[in-house]
Amino acid sequence: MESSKSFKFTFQSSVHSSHVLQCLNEQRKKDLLCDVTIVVETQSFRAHRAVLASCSDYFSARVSSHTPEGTVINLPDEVTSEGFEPLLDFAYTSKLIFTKENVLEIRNCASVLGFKNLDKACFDFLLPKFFDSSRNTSKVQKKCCKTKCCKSRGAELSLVNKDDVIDEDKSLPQPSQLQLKAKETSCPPSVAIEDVAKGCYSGKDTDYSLLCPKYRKFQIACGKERSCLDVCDSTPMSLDKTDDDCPLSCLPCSSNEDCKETFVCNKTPPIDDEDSLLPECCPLNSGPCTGQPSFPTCNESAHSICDSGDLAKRGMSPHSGIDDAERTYMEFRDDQSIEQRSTEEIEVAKQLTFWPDSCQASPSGLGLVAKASNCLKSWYLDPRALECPFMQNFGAVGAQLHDGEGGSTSQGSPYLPSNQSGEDSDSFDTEGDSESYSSERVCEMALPLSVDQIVSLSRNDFQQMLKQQCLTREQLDVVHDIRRRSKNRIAARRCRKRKLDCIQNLECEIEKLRSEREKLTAERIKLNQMKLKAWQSYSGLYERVCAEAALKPEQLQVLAKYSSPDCPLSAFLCPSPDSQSTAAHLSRASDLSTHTCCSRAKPPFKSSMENTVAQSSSQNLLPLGVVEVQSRTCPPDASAFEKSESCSMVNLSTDLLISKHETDK
Amino acid sequence: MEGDNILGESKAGYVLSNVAEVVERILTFVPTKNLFRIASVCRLWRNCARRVLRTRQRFTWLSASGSSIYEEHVLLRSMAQDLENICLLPQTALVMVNHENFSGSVSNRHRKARRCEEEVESDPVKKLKRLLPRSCDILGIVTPGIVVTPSGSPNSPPQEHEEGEAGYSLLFSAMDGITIRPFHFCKKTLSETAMEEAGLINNPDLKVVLLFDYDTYKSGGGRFLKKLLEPLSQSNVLIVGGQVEDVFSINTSCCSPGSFGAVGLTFSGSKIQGASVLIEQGINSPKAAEATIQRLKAANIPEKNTMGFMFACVGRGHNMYNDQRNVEADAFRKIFSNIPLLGFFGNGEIGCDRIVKENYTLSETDADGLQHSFTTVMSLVHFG
Repeated sequence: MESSKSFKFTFQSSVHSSHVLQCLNEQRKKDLLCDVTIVVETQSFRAHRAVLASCSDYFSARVSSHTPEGTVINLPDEVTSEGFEPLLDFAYTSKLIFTKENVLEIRNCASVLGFKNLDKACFDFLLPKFFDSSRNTSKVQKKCCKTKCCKSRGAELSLVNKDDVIDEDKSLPQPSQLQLKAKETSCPPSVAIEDVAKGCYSGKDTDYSLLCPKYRKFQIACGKERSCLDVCDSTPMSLDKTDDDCPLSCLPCSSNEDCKETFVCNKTPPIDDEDSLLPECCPLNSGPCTGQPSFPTCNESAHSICDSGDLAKRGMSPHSGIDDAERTYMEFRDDQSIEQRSTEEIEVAKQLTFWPDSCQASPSGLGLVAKASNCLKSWYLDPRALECPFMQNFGAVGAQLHDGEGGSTSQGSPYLPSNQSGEDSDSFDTEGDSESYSSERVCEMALPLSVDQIVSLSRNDFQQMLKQQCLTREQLDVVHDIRRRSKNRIAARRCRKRKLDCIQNLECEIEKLRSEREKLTAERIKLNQMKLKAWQSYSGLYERVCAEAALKPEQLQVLAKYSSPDCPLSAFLCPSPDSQSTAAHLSRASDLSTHTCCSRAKPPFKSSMENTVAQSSSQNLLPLGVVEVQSRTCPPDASAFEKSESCSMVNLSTDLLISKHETDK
Repeated sequence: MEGDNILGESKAGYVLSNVAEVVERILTFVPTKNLFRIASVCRLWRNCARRVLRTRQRFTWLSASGSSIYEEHVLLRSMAQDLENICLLPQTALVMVNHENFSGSVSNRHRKARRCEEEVESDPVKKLKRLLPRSCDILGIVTPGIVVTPSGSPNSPPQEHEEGEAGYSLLFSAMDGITIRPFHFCKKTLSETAMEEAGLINNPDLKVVLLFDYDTYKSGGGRFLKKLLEPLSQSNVLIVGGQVEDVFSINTSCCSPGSFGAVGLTFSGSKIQGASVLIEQGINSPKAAEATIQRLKAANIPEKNTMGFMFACVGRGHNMYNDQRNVEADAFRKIFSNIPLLGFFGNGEIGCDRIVKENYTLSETDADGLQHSFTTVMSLVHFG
């Protein structure tokens, strides 16, 4: 029996991970296989990219797989070699030695670089110990931190970046919900973006600060930035605040870059202000959507942002009309999108390190338009360039989110098993207990049978065996008892298994239904498109027919009388049909429909439906784009109805048309 | 009427003798000692009792205070009653009493034991052993002063008893994933193998050590203690304790009376977390003491299933805080209002600033920084 079992062994080493780290540390010391140089202040350190990226959020954002070997990374001024060296040692040895001198530096660097597995509680524990007697020093240190913050914004960015990662978890549910909603209404994603953009726009149209009051603060802060550099000190603060409760700014990084945009745009003519505000929202809103894992690479995500930006533009255009600045902006955007990634990356590096410089360089335009376009160009470039590392980061976050989701679902799915396993273990526990108990009893009663025998025999065999064995009454009782209990136990086990199977089946079914739904929604979208096409061709046909026939007014009226109100012709014929006439039309139409193939199962209901359809069809004669938006934004049920109705309607009108042609001839 | 009554009774009887779930539920409310009595009623009850007992994996403490007019120590008197009401089966007991009334009997413990073997009731140690289950390891400690939280309620404020009669017994049941081992070393028995056996060295799971030495001021005691503490100071283990007056441990028969030694408990298991801070000699205001204890809070030890230990010097207490009593215990209570605090005033303290958590440890890398005087060691130990 046991030989048939397939054996599986797992070997797990408890020292392997530490050994690997130790070897890496030795390699680092010998400068073997090191592929990156970190420059902190004046000192430089050699290290492995992989190790750094796995230890710190900052490095995982900075170091991508595209960066060539032997890169030199300049850390922001805020990071001191005094604080960085122990942290680097920590990355390789998992040990960190604090002294009174370096503890603050380490804390500072660790928070800037986003070091993982370094519990902040340590600092809470240590700092009072180190600086207990002289609390003034710590205050001074804090001040120091702040002034340093002002000096380098790159660091700030990374800091915000890091915060963002943490905040993301909290704020992301909203975008994801949004996406879910978009999926549920089964609108194509572009529409979702459009909607969002529109919403964003309308918010801005009135006053963007209404949308999110914190934005105003932030804007004011940015306005101050014009002259002095130290405003950065205040911007991160306001940014942090926006992080807290504003769902829009769930991507603080991009809002940070916005800070820069506005910075630039403040120096340009006020006409551009509105436009320049646009991207502020566009990447913000599209960000969550592009955060999907479907855009894995940085480049793609940049494009997608571009696209979504375009869409946003389109969504707005009916409201505001296209002006020149916008056009140039679009052109520039197109130009830029062709550029290679390498330049982008160079840009990234530049932006990260010499941010203020590029800002100052940008307003050096010639004419007004040139200036504006220049500005636009620069600000357009910037977000994307900045987006690059950020998007990666965000992608990571997205992955994290997905992990989280997966975690939750997997939590959901193991939840049952775990629950069951708990139950099982519990039941096994009691079973074991009772099994041992029954065997105990067997021993006690000195029964000539084993528990297995008692349990496993069939009923007849059991009876026979009992007859063969001459047992006392007490013993018989015990045997029966044991048999009963064991049978119960087996039954219970079976029941549990059945339930488990049932759960699994249901899960499968859910899965199946879900895929079916997706298929159906896709089909519906296709049908909608077909319907639109049909409408277009029909309206064209009608126009032609009317023109060719050159009907007299009376004839037209007669035609209108007998044609269904659904067809575009009726709108041509009677431009302002009052409700009564439509009702008359409707009744006729329903009469007509009885002649044609349409089902007449529920005439009153149907007529009312047709009424709505007729109304919408009269609107259909307006620009088609509106219809598109309308039909897409319609709730799914209504549009489904509409679809089926429109199908029958199309049939009906074709019949009509053909018959009319014949009569005319 | 009578018929109804009988019918009702028989129904209840039927349920109680057949429906295991009901019996089990009822038994969860029964203290352990009664549970054992109940277990001998019938098979069903025995099995239920066994199952209930298995779920009781915790620790509890019994404390007593107040000057007594009786011969025996107040703790012993109250323990006899309190043990009836506890809901766990003690596997390890840490008993600490102050020597007001205990010392007389303990100091001539050996003499007494030798003189009259039959006089069981008068010997507190024997009585203690009789009170607790036979399989229970008892670690008894006599100290000059005691810090207790009244038994049963972790929320009630802890009290420092620098004088007067007080005592407590901390009882641990067998817990899954946690190994508690008592140890006792004297001059003769201290060796590598003995330490390994106690789980003090070569034990990767070791998390917390409670260590109490006695009479180590005698010649050779320093060296003895250093040998014991050296491997512990290198490792990332939470170690707290102090020097006490006397111990009455499992078997102190290995060495002659009056010689020095050390006793303690080792707690190993991945679930255990702990942290300790040292309130230094210079700290003599309630505010500063509170600030130090506040640092314990930074360690983020969960409050549930956690015990606080405070081992202070006899020189501290009200002498240190301008005749204000109960300062450190109150400070602890202020910060950790739901964690019980037990401890003593001893002749010296062992411990340093350390955090031992599941995913990291933080410790002072100072080889001989474990022994202190005129300080207080405050610590939290979380048992999973």
